[in-house]
Amino acid sequence: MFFRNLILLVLMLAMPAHVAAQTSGTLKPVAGWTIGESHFDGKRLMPAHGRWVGVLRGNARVVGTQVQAIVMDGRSHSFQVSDNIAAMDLPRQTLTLEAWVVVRRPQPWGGIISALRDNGDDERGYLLGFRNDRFCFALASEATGKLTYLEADRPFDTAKWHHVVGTYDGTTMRLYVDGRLAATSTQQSGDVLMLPTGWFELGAYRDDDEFFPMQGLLHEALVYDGVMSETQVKRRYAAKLDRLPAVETLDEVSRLRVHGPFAQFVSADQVRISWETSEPTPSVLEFGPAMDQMRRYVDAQPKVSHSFVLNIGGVNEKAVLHYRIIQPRNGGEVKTRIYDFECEFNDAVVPPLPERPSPYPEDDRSAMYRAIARQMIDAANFRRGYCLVLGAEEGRLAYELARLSDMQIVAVESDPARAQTARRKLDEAGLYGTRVSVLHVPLGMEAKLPFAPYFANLVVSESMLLRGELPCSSEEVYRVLRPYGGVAYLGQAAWATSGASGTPRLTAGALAQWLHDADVSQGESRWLEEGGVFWLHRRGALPGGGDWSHQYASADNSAAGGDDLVDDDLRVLWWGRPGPRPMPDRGARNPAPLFTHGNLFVQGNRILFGLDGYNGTVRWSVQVPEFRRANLIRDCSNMAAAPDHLYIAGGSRAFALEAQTGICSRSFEVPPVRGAGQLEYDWGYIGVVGDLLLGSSTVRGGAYLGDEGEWYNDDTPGEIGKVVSESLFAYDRKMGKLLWTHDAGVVVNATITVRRDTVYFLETRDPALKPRITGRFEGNLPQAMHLVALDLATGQEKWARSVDVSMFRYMAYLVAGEGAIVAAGSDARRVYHLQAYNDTTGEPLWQYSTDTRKKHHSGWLDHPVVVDQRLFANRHTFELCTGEVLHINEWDFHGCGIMSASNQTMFQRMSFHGMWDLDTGKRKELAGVRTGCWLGLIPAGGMLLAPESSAGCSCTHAIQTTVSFIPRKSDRR
Amino acid sequence: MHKRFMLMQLILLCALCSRAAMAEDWPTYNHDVARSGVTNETLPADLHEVWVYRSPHPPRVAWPGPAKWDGWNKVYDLKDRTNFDAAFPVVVAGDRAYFGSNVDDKVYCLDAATGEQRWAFYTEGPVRLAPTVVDGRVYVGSDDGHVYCLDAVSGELIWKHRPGPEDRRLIGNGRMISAWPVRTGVVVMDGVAYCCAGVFPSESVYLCAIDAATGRQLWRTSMTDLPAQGYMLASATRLYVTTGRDRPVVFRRENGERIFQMTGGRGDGGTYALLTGDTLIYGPGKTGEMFVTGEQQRDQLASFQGNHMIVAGPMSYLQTDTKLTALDRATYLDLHTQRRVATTQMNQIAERIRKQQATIDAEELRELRARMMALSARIDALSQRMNECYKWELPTTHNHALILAGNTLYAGGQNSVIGVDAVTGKEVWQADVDGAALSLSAANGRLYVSTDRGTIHCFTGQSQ
Repeated sequence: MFFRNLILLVLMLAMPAHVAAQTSGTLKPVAGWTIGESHFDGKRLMPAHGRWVGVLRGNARVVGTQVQAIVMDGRSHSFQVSDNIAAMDLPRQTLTLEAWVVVRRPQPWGGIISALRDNGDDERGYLLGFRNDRFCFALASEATGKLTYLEADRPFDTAKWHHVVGTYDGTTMRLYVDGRLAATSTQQSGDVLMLPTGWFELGAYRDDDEFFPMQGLLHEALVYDGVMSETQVKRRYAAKLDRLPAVETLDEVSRLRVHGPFAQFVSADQVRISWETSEPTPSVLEFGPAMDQMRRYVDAQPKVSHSFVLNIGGVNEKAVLHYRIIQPRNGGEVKTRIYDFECEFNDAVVPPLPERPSPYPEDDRSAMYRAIARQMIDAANFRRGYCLVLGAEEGRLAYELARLSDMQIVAVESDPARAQTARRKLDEAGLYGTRVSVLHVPLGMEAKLPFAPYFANLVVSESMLLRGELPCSSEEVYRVLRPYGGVAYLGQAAWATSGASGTPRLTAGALAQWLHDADVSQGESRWLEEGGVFWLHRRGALPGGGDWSHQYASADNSAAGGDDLVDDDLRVLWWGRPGPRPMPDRGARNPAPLFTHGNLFVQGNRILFGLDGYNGTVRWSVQVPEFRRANLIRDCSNMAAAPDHLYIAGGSRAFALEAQTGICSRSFEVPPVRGAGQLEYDWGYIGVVGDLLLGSSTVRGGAYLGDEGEWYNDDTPGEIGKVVSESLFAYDRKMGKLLWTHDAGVVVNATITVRRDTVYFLETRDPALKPRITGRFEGNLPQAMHLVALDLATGQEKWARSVDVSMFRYMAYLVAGEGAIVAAGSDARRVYHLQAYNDTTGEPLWQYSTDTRKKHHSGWLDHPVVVDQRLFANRHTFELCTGEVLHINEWDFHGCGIMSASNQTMFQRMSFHGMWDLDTGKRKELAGVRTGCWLGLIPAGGMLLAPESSAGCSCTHAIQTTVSFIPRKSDRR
Repeated sequence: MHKRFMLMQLILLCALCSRAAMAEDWPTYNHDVARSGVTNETLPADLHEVWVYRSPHPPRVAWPGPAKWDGWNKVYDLKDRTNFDAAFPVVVAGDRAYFGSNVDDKVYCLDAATGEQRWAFYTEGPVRLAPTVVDGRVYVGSDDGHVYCLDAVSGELIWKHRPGPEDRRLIGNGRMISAWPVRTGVVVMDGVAYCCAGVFPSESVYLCAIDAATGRQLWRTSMTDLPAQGYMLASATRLYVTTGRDRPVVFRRENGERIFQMTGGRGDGGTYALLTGDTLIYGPGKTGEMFVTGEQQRDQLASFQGNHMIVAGPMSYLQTDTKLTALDRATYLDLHTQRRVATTQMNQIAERIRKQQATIDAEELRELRARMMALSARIDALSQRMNECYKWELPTTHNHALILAGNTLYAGGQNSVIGVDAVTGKEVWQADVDGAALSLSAANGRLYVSTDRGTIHCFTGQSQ
């Protein structure tokens, strides 16, 4: 049957247009679209009347069962019925437009059925839509050549379905709302003046240079060749009124002024849910496994920080629990939407210890073992991670370490019989495999440990503790010790030798001699001689390892973190969580992972992960249902990292999460925006430079969410809008004090750049250009743009230069290097433009425009990279300050991501994770794994870190996981 | 219709009756190196639980589940293409049952009659796939990068071999394991043990043949484009290696020379596979499909909705998320080929009309449309006949595992396992289990059910 239908469709499309529409007494649509399963496949809206198919921009949800509607987001969603309206043969003498809609957001220009042009003196066509909070019917006839906007006499209700009808009989325009005549006009007469070219659009006001999608619900839109009578209007209104889908409640978080919430496992069977309120107030949490099993937890104290720790023991690990926050308001209650807490994302907790007796004798050494294990764990200062026990004997120290910490213990023993005994005992204790594993590995001063480097947060030795035996060379110990704080706690306990004649005694001198093999100059060493002789060493930074604290490496947007170690000869260092399940779909141009001081931060789909960058331990994860950002082509990331904290923007605040625990320690509010009126603002840009936390204010709703499978690749209205801010400000991140605010104009978020003591950005200072509804610059950037430099410490303007970047359509970037700042953008023809300016004076240095060299998979969206004095963009290599073209890459590569660099190597998705040598251009790939469609490969800390970002890809890439690679030269044993 | 049904019942009965009801071992995953999931043995009709083994910890899988959706293609509920170790599958030889644990890294031998532990052997990493038992020896691979050969009675180590190039260990999903873990199981044929080692192709992934008697490596080849994960399969001349989310690869059994990788569409890989001759059936792809390749061919011949498939003579039994079906596979594939040809022809005509409508004269256009209508009718007729190849259908949510023992299909579901008469499609037996029944084994009068909670249930007849 399917094939017959296919044939009929083919034949139908091949048929000439028919115009017969009106039969005696009954008005029939000549074109019409109704949302419903049989008509809408998620992308194409098949016509219920006529032959014109609507194609959805973006990806919208359908709601309802019997009668359905599509949810329009007010940014990207609309149906394009035709981009060649002349071919539609629409009625001109008489007509009726009819629609069922919910309009949730009043706006100056809104369209439901749009077939018009309103460009100065060129006014044509017609529109059924709304202006501000009133429905309207607009039409231009040949007699006037001007549009009449007929507005309803009363505002619409943003939470109700409305039936809207506009009719024109050649002399009179009538507008009906909900079966009632709402306005009439006789200003137009004669045939409609149709436009020769242009769009027919549903759900948006659209003409050549304007695109204003509606926010709300659309059920049906119809066009008639004839005039619907008032009686018919009333009848049609009444016929459907009670059958339409329920209007979804609006997200009330902003009205509630609730910030957060954060939901985090604190143990295997406990979850903490916390949030903040703008003012001190009581607050209520509802939490439960199902909507009808929600239990209330009341925080009766009026305060701003609220938190509950809830027991979820016994809940299936795949369960999804639900919660919401309730605020008392005016004698009643206001509720947030229902949030999910997904129990399967529990990578940051370890299973509870089994309650079993110790397999080791309770003797005079038991307390000693526990005490030394406690000292070692306290010294390590890592809650989770890996502990290497060299010379594990029968596993007694490993046992105590496992009991006293959440660490995974890797115990190494060279004697096979002792190793087997250790396994049996630890198995008996219920720890084997889950918390401790014992490996039989030859030890000794010449032995090479079989392990990849850097994995151990703590290195200890039981054989050394007991007998003073040096298990292997200090060089080997150091090789496996984690940079940025890994602790070696090695030595002999006095209790092990006291009263035991013949036990070898380790001396400080012998230990010091042993340490000669290792270069421990990058860390802190201490000698402990109380209770024995011990060397305690905390490893420092990895020399040459860079950080990646911002979306594009640092606040300078260079996409090069200065890592001097990572090259193109790489081996796997570790792999692990997160996998694809908690991640956003790969196409939505999602925020990059960050790395500072050994901490790897990964943003999933409304979940944050704090990992140990050197072994993949998931130290914490926090579910943050209100935190999401996408389309970073046209926006900035919502997170930045300092050595001690991750800063993340959500709603109108930025939150400081402790790097080690993910616990929120402070929050910062967007300062009031001058002239805000009723508008609300969210935290847009976020950057951390020294003790300064930088932020910007973006109209609420301006940021993209990427929840509908968007790819943001093409010149699509609602997808290429560049998110902007109306102020830029700086806080002292440690004191919480607002230091300065800059609000001279409208700042393009993706251009905010900091280098040394200067903040740079592109800004328009024309107040008329403030996009206060959308928070975005749609289409090309405005003509009147400035390149601005502020003093980082004070916010004072250093200079501002008028620049012409009006050709930047797809995107607008700014990157900074030594001596130059460079603006990049591509125009409507996908010509890629670079403009370089002196970073001290703003004087133009050079500019370069050329066709995009990669003509697929977002090649025209390329983000530049700056490595020292080289600028890489659009497959060109430039001398940064002169613009001299040093090299052009001729080769092609497949993927949709962008570049990132170490000092030696450029990384980018090819088919798989790909890279090329900056000097030789030699290319390589790491087969089996791919990254996402923005920046997912970060060279930092001496590693190439590749958190999973390919989620949802149907492709046959064999592996989807987070993985870290190291240079082969760092792996030598 | 009634006659046709009767005839089919007869064919089914003949196909099934040709198998004897003798007791059989289940010496490797899904019974044999073709991973058929079929034993000739008929289990007692009155199966009841005799013992349960409960692991202190549930299985700890190598890979977490798939993404929640494919946003670009709007595909929800993606299937897991790397799911091969979410339970402890049991293999059986004589009165002993064996399994490996990916939690405590051990290989276990249980008394098949009582479930009591006979012995356990520690490897140094998770044992993710079931052992293989041949001639009194247990062959098993571990994430520690080694293949072990153990005495089946005592559990003593006979030999171990590391296929990878060096002993390099690193953190893989929270465990210290080899950079070249053995995650294909071990296939033993004609005195040779075959396995692969390695996950990341950039580190090279190795396929090797080992003298099963001595542990001496006979040959080793490598791949640098694909991992090897999931149960390896073998035919008389070939080795089939599943790769995870990608499609399987085929090698010559005599020397490990790579022949080809299966072709297909995007997202149609997976680690579930079975062989019938040299026809490979694999899946589940991203949506739960079984892809059938031609005999010794790399191209897909057909695909069926399903998570698992049993092939028995001309019949196939398909397990989807919602039903079990019996399919006259041979007839279906023939009709499928005819329909594919007709569909291709129709698409070509439609494309021509679409592109050249303005230039085709009216007469030719009428003729083309008439041909399309004829082809369409033929396609509908073929589709109808293909539908008739489904001989019975049993709605059920038992979608996790499927085997055939004698005349009875056993299907694993959530907290339950059922027996279904393969001739009539009627449910004939049911028992409760603890968790999702992800793996089934039938041997020597017993049915073993392994669940995602690390539990192994053993069922047998009253007289056993």
